[in-house]
Amino acid sequence: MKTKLALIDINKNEVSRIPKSIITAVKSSGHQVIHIENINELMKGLKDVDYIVGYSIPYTYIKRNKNLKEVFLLSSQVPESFLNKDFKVESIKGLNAKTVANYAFKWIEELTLPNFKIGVIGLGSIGKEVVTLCSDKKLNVMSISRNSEADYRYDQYTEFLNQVDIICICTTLNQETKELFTKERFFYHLKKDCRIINIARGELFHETDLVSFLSESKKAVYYTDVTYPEPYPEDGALRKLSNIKITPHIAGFSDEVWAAVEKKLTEALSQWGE
Amino acid sequence: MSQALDLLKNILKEAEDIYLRVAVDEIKPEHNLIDDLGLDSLGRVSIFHEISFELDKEIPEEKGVKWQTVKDVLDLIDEYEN
Repeated sequence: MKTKLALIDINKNEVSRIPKSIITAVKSSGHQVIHIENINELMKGLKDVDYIVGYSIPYTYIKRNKNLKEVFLLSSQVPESFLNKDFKVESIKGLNAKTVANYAFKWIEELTLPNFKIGVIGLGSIGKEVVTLCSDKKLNVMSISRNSEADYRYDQYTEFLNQVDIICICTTLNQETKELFTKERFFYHLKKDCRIINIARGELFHETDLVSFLSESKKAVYYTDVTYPEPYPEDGALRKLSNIKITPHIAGFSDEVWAAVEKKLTEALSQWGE
Repeated sequence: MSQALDLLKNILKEAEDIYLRVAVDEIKPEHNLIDDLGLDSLGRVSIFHEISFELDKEIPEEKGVKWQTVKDVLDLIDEYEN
């Protein structure tokens, strides 16, 4: 009996939509494929599948599926809710780190001035690449993370925030990291002209706090490739501000990245059902 | 309606991967799901299904499609709870 595989293909963004080559690879993998192209098909489509390929979705959609064996996420971040469950999770972590880091670094280069201090929050694969890019260009960069390689630990968070001119956020999203970006823990300690770059997740910020900070600190700047929700509405509060730049979650995508993803996915597809 | 609001709040507290712009305990019926709570479409549909499971009822999906406010959600809960 063929195993059932759901391909979640509801993202229609030009840059991040799943390429035809990957859809073809999935459909010709020998599994019975359920191609989900609409949010309203999700619950029924994922009900009893053995495997899932796609971007991450709220855990609600899969928590009652007792057949699920593995999820292959087309994103580098794995939601906390997917961890320590009865199914395996694979992601593209590491495959697009350089691409995302290069994207952020272009913004750093645009925003930096002589003697600026650049702070990188989070030292995973993307954060490390950003630090490397900054160091290679002899920029004054420092990092903060749970990772022992970082320059600062989180119990030195305020000291870290007080001194940086540009902050590049590279953390994953979980309950712990969300608490790092509240008004009290984050905005109160920033320089009033701080440049904030977010290539992590829009949900890290309470939008009200962010809008409040940017409205009061006209010289501060917020450049982000991630928002919540996505796509960000045309009449969203952030769009009313002049000191922001929003791109629609495109930092991690390139032809090279998709080729690497397809290779990794093809290997996984061949092993599933064995 | 207060029972429906409690049910909704419990669902939101238990739900993983649904992020709101306001704290769950501060949610009010007049809040707009998108503008005030910041819910995206995946989140709204997810909540719809959690309510269906919680009430153990097959609720037609079109009932959730027109949701604009928290009150719309509470009205659905009231309708199907009884």
